[in-house]
Amino acid sequence: MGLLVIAQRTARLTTLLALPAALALTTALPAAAHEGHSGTMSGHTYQVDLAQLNKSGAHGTAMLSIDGTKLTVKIQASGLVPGQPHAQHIHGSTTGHDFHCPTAGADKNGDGVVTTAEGMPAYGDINISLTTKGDTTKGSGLAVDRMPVATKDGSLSYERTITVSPAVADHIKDLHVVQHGIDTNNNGKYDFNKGKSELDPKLPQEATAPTDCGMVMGAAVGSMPVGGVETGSGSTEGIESPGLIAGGGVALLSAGALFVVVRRNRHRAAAETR
Amino acid sequence: MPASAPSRLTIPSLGVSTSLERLGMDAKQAMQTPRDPAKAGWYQLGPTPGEQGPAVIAGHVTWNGAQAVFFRLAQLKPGQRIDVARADGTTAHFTVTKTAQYAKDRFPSIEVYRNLDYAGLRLITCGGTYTQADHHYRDNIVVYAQLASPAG
Repeated sequence: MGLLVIAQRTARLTTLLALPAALALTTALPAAAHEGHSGTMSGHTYQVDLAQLNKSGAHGTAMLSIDGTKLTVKIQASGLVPGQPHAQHIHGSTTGHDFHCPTAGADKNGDGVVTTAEGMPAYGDINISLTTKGDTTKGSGLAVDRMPVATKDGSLSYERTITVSPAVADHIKDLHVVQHGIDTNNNGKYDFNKGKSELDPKLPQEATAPTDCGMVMGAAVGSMPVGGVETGSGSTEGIESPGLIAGGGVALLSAGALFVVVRRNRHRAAAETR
Repeated sequence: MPASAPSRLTIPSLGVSTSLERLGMDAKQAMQTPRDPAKAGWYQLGPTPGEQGPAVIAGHVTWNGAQAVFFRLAQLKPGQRIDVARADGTTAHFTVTKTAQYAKDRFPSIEVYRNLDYAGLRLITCGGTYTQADHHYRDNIVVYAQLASPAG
């Protein structure tokens, strides 16, 4: 309980802190845009298409941007078990082993579920735990209290920048992303219908079995910009964009505003459950 | 279409016709914006318009209180045309599929920049509530378009 309260406070604090940072950016960016046009090439972006495992119906996209040893991970996934935490990791080897996402054939005991242990020979050990805060080592692999929680419609948004080892930075293309947590009996929660997890007997197998997996591949956008685009006004007062004024824009804008509200709520739900 | 840098963007329904600057990333890894508010800019670290994947062109909505190149971008509707002339002499004809508005701090990077199995185009500008105090639009407008037909 105490942890939850702290988590909520942290989430709220993050929101409060993000605002001045965004405002600070506004003043900085137009100046930057004026100063030069060289365009740094520092970051490099990779894409991961997450495909379902265990007939979970889960799917999504991850974008990995590496800048030196700073790795920014963005994940947008859907079809997950609603309201449940989904452990997620970057698996694989940085020393030349050829790991890949497992197939249904990895289900050694034939119970219809490829468990994390059964998948391990295919996708290798945990390299990075994609937690929402704190430690990101293998040791946090099952830290479900720090894993992102799917919304009530089963979608999940995740973003975090992590400092990684030079080996990970150099071998990012050899790695893959796995999300965990399935609901084989469709009762909306993780239970023990498929037994205990071989990783932690206190957790149900459903909580730790993989739900989707994807290999790291190139992105058409070689380097993905961070955040939105500061295409607003330079300075002084003046006219606003006509979306708010002109007739043609009104319908669109109310639809857009609604969309923003929905997104906000979804985000809030995600933040509160962390 | 093969890769070829874009030279001119034309949006007939908005009366927009502009040569294109080239945009990269600034020191904070955010997208640069055009120096000239009357021009749009192509994000050169992404695909070229007409090439498979999400080509990105950004432009200002207003600048120092005056209309800028993408002032009316939010009014683009699905089905409307966007043409991009390219350095190799071809023109890529795009059709608008969607116009969306997002808070900048919830910018859907994956949806905008993810790989595509077709040639796509994203036009980006600012929108939403304008804050007088810091000259800041809260939102981004993103117009999504798909290559209709390559032609000479």
